[in-house]
Amino acid sequence: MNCDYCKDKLSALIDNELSTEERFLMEEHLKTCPSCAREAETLNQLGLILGGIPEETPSPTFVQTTVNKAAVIRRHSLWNTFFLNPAISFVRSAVAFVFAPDGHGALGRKDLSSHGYLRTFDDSPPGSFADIYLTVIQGGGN
Amino acid sequence: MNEPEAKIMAEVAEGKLSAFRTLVEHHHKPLISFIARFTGDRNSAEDIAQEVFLRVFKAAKEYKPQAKFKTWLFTIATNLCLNEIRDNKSIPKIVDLSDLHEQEYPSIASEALSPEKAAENAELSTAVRKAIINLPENQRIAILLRQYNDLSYSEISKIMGISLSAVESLLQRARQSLKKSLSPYL
Repeated sequence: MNCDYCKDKLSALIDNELSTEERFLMEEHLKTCPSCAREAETLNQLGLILGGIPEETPSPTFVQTTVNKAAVIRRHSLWNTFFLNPAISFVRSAVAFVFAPDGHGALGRKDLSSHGYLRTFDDSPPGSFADIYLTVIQGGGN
Repeated sequence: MNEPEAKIMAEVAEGKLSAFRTLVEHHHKPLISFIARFTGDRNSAEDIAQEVFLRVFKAAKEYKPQAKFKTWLFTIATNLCLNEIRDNKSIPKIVDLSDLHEQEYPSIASEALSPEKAAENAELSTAVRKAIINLPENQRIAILLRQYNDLSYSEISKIMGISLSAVESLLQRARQSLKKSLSPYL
C-alpha cells in the first residue's frame, strides 16, 4: 500500500467504513509508516476537538410550541376533510336540498320563529350553513 | 428506524399529538444543533427545526417504515437548510470570529473551569464553528451528519443523493480543510 492511497482512506478508517481486508492493510501500513501514522493521529485529534463542541440548548418552550402548531394543522386538516371530502360534500348538498330554507327545500319551511332571536343579529341568514345546521338540530321547519 | 419509532410514526400518521410530542422530544436537540452548525445562525435554527417537525407531521402518512426515520428527518432538514441559505442572502458565506461571538453558543465543557480555561474553551468552540461554517455546503453537510449525528456513509449518501465514494471523498476533503483551519489547536 502506498502513502497517497493510505492518506485518502484515513477518513474512512476513522469512520469505521472500510472492509475487514482494507482495514487490515491500512493498519499494517500504519505500523510501518511514521508519516501516515502521524496523519492518522492528527485526524483522531481533530475528531476529538470537533466532538468536544456541545449541542445547542433549545429554548424550554420549543417542544410545546411545536406540538401546539401541529395541533392547529390537525384541526385544519380535520376541517378540510369534512368540507372537501366528496362523500361528505354530497351528504351536505343532500341535507341542503332537503332542508333548504324559506320554503324552497324539499321539506319546505315557513316559520322561523323557533330561532328568531338569531335573526335579530342575522348570524345565520337564510341559506347559510349555520341556518341549515340550526334547522337540522332543531328538527326542521313546520 | 427501530420498532418503537415505527410504531410512533404510525400513531403520528393517525394524528396523535402525544406520539408527535415523543418524536419531537427525542430528536429536537440534535436537529437544532445540526441546523445551527450548518447555517451558522443559532437564532433561526429553532424556526427551521420547527418547520422540519411540522413537515414530518403533515407527511407522516407518506412515511415508509423501511426507511430509517433519522435519515428521513435529516433529509428534510438538509433541504430546508439549503433553501434557507439560498433564500437568505444575509447569511455570510465566510464568517468572521466576531460574528460568531455575538451569538450565544454553548462552549466546550465550561462548567467548573478557571476563567482562563473557560476563555480558551470558548475560543476553541468559536474556532471550530467558524471552520465548519466556512466549509463548502456539501462538505459541511457530510461532516456534520457523520461527526455529530453518527450517520453511516450509506445513510449520508441517501440524504445527499450521492454515491458512497462521493461521501467518502467529501469527508476526506472536509477533514483536510478543518485540519488546516484548526491547525493552531492540533
